[in-house]
Amino acid sequence: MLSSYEEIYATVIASAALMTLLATVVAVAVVRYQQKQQKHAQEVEQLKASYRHEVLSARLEMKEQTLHTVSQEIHDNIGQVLSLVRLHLNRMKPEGDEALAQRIGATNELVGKVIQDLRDLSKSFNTEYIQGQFLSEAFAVELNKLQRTGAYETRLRVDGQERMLDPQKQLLIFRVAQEAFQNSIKHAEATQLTVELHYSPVLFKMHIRDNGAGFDFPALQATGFAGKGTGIRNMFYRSRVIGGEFAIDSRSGEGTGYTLTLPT
Amino acid sequence: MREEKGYSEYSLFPFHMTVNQGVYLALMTASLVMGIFASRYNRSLRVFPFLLGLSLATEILVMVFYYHLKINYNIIYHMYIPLEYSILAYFFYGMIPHPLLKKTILASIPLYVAGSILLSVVVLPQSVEGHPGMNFNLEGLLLITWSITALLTVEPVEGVPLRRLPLFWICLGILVFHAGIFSFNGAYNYLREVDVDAAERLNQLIIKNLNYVLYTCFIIAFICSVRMRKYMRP
Repeated sequence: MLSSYEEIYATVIASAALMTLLATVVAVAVVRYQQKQQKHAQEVEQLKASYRHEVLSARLEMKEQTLHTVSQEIHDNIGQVLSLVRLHLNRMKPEGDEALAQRIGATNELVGKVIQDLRDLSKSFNTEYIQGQFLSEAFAVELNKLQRTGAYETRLRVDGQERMLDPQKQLLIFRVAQEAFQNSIKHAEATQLTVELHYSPVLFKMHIRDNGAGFDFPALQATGFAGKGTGIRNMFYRSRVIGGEFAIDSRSGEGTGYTLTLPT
Repeated sequence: MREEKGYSEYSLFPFHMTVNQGVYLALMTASLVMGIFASRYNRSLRVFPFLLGLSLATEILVMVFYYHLKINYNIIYHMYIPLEYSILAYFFYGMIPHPLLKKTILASIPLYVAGSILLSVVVLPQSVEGHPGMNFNLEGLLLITWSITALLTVEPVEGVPLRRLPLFWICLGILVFHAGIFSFNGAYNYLREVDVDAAERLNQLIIKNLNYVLYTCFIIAFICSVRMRKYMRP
């Protein structure tokens, strides 16, 4: 049996140990709670990012469906009708009327040009057509279209061993490039367009450069692409969807460069 | 009139009550009112109005027994402690997420009630007239265990630190109260052998202050609950 003093000492030591244990428990609880909170916040962020990705993918898929439908309509209906028009025009040979014959000939040429342009447009809208060939071939069609107008000088360069990429990625890379071409023509008023495709075993890189007016990209980026800049925002979205990185290098009066880098 | 050294005394009710007892009852009443208000916004706190109402009624009854009727009041505590444990255990049952722990807490309620009755009626030398120290210590051990478990398993609320969760303050109050009582009870028996009067006064002082801490923590918990209502589902 303990003496009175020993009883007191034992009680004091036990009490101190109990209080220390409780203080430790509370401290551990605070730390654990903070760790759980951080982990929970990360999970929520991942879910949000995943949701945004899904929404983006769905929107892009819908756009591609629409373009594909339009492509088929152009090919099946408009193209057929215009071919028929050309056939009728070819059969018209007014004898003795040179002026009329010349006008018919000029009209025939114009219709031929429209058919060719529609064919090119249909190809550029056709998802399966883009996915089914090398990127350089698809770009060649687009650049030749621009070159034929006489207003643009275009160049295409391919480095490394070209290969077919994942069809979905290939399609979105092409759409990004189309957007870049549109920007160069409509906004930058460029006269030269250069496209470079670099293939390496682990990386694909596309670089498009124009000699247009350029613009203050950092300022536009700071506004979150509010107002104008929807096309540029779509370029970033599309690159993100396929797991690539997209960059724009542009200064007023110095042209614009678009670079898409994609690990393969 | 019963004198207590160092305290002023005046009649508030038909029986004599010290200022400190008045403050204690006021604190309990405030926590009861806050508890009723907070339970409207937070379903998990809906047991507290019952608990605090029961505590307040118990303390008033004890005062009536002691000051007015002049009879032993310990039987009231023998009846109150199992009820208190049942309500608090049910609260922790609702707060702790793990199924096995929940079952353990739920199973402990009838076991404790039975054990407490056994202690009160059979084991204690003076039966229900004696001080229910063992009942209290056993309750304290269980509630300390559940409080620690609740603190370590609490689910995070986005953007809300632990110190703003009602559960934190409830657990803290229970931990400090019962750990303090438990520690003091160890020295209490020896002190009674040395000086009964001093031991009783020290006992009252410590228990009173620990009660202040407990009910203050409850009030803080209820305030946190009301401020957090935007995070809570109805």
